[in-house]
Amino acid sequence: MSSEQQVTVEHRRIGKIALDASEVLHFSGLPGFPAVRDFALAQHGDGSPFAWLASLDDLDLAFVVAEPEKLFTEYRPAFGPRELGAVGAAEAGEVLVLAIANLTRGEACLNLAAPILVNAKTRRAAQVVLPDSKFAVRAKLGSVSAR
Amino acid sequence: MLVLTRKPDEAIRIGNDVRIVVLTTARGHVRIGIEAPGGLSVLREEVHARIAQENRSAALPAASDGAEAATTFLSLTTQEVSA
Repeated sequence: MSSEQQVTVEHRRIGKIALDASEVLHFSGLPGFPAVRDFALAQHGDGSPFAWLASLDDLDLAFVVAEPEKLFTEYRPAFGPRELGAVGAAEAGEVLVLAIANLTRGEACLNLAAPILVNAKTRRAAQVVLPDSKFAVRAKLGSVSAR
Repeated sequence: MLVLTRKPDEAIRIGNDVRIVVLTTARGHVRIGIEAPGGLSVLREEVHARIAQENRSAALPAASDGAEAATTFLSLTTQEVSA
C-alpha cells in the first residue's frame, strides 16, 4: 500500500477529509456544475444512510448522498449502455448507485430520476438521467417528512 | 453559435462519432435523430435544466436555514428515513 498516495483536504463544508488517491471519484462535470471533476465520498456516521460527496476542486461544494436501494426498496432502475457507458462499465454489477439528497428545504428528498453511478473499479463517476420518467427528481423520504 | 441549414434526411456530424439527422419538419416541429456512442448524455434541454436546478438546490449551503435543516436530517438513521 506504500504506493498509495494519501490525500488530506480541509473542506469548508464538512471539515477534514483523509483518503487514498485511489478512492477519489472522477466526474466530468455535473448538471449545474460543469467544471467539477474530483470528489471524495465520506460516510456520515454509523447507522446513517447518508454520506458526503465533497468536491476536491471547489472546497465550498458538497452534496449529501445515499444509496437509494436502501431507502426505497422498490428502486430498481434498468441501466442501459448509455448509462453504464458514462462510467465505462459493461454491466450493472460493476457500478455503485448513489442518489443526491436534498435536505435544504425543510424536507428530505432523494433524486431518483438522476442517480450517480460509480464504476467500482476505476472510480469513474457520472450523474445519469434515466429515460424512464417514473422516478421522481424529488422523491420524499418517508417518516422524515411526516415530522 | 454555429448556424447550419439542413433539409430533411440531411445530417450533421459532431466529431467522429456523433451524427444528428433532421428527419421531418411539420407545423413548427422538427424531428431530429441522434446517433451517439453509449455513455454520451443526450437530453432535452429542459430535462437537463431541471436536474441542474435540483443539484444547485441540493448543494449544501454555507450558513442558512437550509444548512440547519440539513444538519437535523443528517442525524437520523436509515430506519428513520426509509420511505
